[in-house]
Amino acid sequence: MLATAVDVRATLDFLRTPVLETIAIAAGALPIAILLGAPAAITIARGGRAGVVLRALAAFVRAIPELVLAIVFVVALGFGAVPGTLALGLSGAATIAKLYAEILESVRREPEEALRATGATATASFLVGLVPAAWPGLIGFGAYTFESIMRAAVIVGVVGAGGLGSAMITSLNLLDYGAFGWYVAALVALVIAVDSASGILRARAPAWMALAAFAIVSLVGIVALATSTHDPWHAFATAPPRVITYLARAIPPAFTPTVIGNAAWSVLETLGVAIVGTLVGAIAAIPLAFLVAGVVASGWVRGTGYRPWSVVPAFVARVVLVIARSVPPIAVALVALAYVGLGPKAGAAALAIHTAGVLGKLFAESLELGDTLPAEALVASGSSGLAAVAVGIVPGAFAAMSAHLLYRWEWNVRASTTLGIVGAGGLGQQIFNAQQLLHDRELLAYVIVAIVLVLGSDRITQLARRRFELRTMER
Amino acid sequence: MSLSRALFIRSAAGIAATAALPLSASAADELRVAFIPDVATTAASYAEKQPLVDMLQRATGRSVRLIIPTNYAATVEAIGNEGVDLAYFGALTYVKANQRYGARPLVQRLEDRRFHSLFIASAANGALDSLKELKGKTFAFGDVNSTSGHLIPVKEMLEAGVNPDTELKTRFTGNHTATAIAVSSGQVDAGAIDETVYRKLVADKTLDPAKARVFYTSKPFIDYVWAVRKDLDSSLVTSIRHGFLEANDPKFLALLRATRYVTANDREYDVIRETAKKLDLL
Repeated sequence: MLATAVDVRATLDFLRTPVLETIAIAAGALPIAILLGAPAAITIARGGRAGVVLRALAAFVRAIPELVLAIVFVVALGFGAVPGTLALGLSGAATIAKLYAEILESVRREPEEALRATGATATASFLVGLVPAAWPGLIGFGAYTFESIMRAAVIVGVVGAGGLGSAMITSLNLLDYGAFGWYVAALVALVIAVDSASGILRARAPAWMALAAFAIVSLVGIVALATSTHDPWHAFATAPPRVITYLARAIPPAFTPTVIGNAAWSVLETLGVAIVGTLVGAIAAIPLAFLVAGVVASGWVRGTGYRPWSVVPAFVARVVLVIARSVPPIAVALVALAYVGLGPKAGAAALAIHTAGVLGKLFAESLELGDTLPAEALVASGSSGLAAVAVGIVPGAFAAMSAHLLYRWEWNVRASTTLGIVGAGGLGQQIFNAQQLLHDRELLAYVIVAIVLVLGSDRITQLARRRFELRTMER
Repeated sequence: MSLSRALFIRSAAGIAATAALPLSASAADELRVAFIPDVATTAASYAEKQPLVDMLQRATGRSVRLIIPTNYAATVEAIGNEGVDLAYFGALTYVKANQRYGARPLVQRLEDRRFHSLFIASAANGALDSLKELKGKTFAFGDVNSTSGHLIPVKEMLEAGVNPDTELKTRFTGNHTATAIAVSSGQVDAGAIDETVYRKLVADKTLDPAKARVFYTSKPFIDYVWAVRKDLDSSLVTSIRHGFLEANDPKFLALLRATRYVTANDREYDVIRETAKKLDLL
């Protein structure tokens, strides 16, 4: 009995530092992301030349693998939470700028324009006329960004920015699989906690509660950073010359024949990982989504009947989805490497699992949002429940599901440029190897290829979206 | 769980996270010491490193913080951005830290002056008796910046007429222990490993030597070295050097698998420099 208590205390003890550090990194990065990203989003949504420039800048920063940002900040600021926080804050800001701008653009502008017409100031019209309508989206995507930052904290940890990422790699190096398992479990718990908190904030909390939550998270981040053993002020003061020296060494990028050859092969490998990860994930997501959406369980298509015995598979599917999307792909890749060996297979497996988790949830939401009347009519006219869902529900949800699939594809291309750092192949591996060898000019060349690849794939999906009129957000 | 195990876990976590948080106060005159991750994987626990911490504390009169970065290159960058004062490098990482950030060599084990790489073969994947037979096989290197796990093995393969880039399927595992596992589990046909790590894993019964059999030993080369950052206070540098040279605590020497320490000399790394340049690793 006593032994168990000591065990639990010791376990909590060794988890404490990396967990607190990951929280500190994510909490510090969130205010940076919001304070930089939100004004940028407003400017982008307003249009004009500044908006166009900022939109391009945000797209560019988003295309830089988080790993690369982390490398630059670690080089500039040394080890510890500060570089990780800044790297994630910056990439988070670019995400916020894009997502918030999309929300603001998709909200009806009439109330704001009406207020302007009555003589209200631009700020007041914006705050009263536009923000309330956009509020649920702003909270939702803010929480989503926080959750992404927490997951990405593992990536920056791998290059020495502290937190659970560093702890995971160190425990694997020490062959301490027990500790590794605990770190993964701790991270899953963190992401699930953020996920549920954001769910509550989105669904029923008043605005002040969301703002208070943001203030508390920011305060935690600021206090953690200010009191870190690392001397942040000295680090900040000496950082700019270091970054300049580092970047100067990388120019001009070395597009040698070898680099071009490696890059070409790696682009194919990266695309392969993204394609397989997206497709396998999407296929796995479909049955899970049907289970979760209650097609089986609740009989929400009136007339198909409620089947209490099927509540169990729905619950199991929900748990599977939560876990699958909470574990960062990089942690899955680390585990997968042990089973399928080094190389792109591990990367594809990791992306497939994460994609199944995310798409399962989004597909389920798409199914539930659809109109059930056609299906009910079919059931009433004697068709089976399954056929009614197939013919009456799925076509209506198809557009939303396709939009989510495209968005996931973009995300997976980004992710697969990063997964290589743990040996899972592709451009990430070239970037990591060049950084490891301290071949700065080759590193820059691979980073440019990665950015072009991500921007190019974004462009293609953008065209597809326009062609098929798919929107990620319901409006 | 024993008290010592609990203490180990606590200190391991404290050090594994190389930074941050209001958990411990900052000490301005702290001596920050980094290892390349290799050594961490074999000397096992941070608590076991206490003899080293004690020695450095006695020699310098400063508190000592151990840092084990997640990879070799991070150690090089750390000595460049004042992240650490004293670092334990392999030959290749030392040469890079010296070229890039002016890191100065201090001391090394007598053993480091005649070091060897071991080529090990997986029992699961048939017989291998010479480097020539590696053609067409899958092969594991350690970290890309490892001297005994990458640089020297590549050099020896090329000398034996085998081109690892074109005639083998090669992978980097990140560290020597991972290489040992990849070979013994049959994930790869063969691999190259630091001789002291291999012996340590076998002695600890972590590795079955029958499953990862040594089939070739490299020619001797100069390897590991302790180095300080360019602008570290010279009296501090002197006291660290004396600490190592005069160390005779058996626990300390056993921890670092050393018989004794000798002064290191930058010029002796010229051969590593040339090899690295030739192989495009510098």
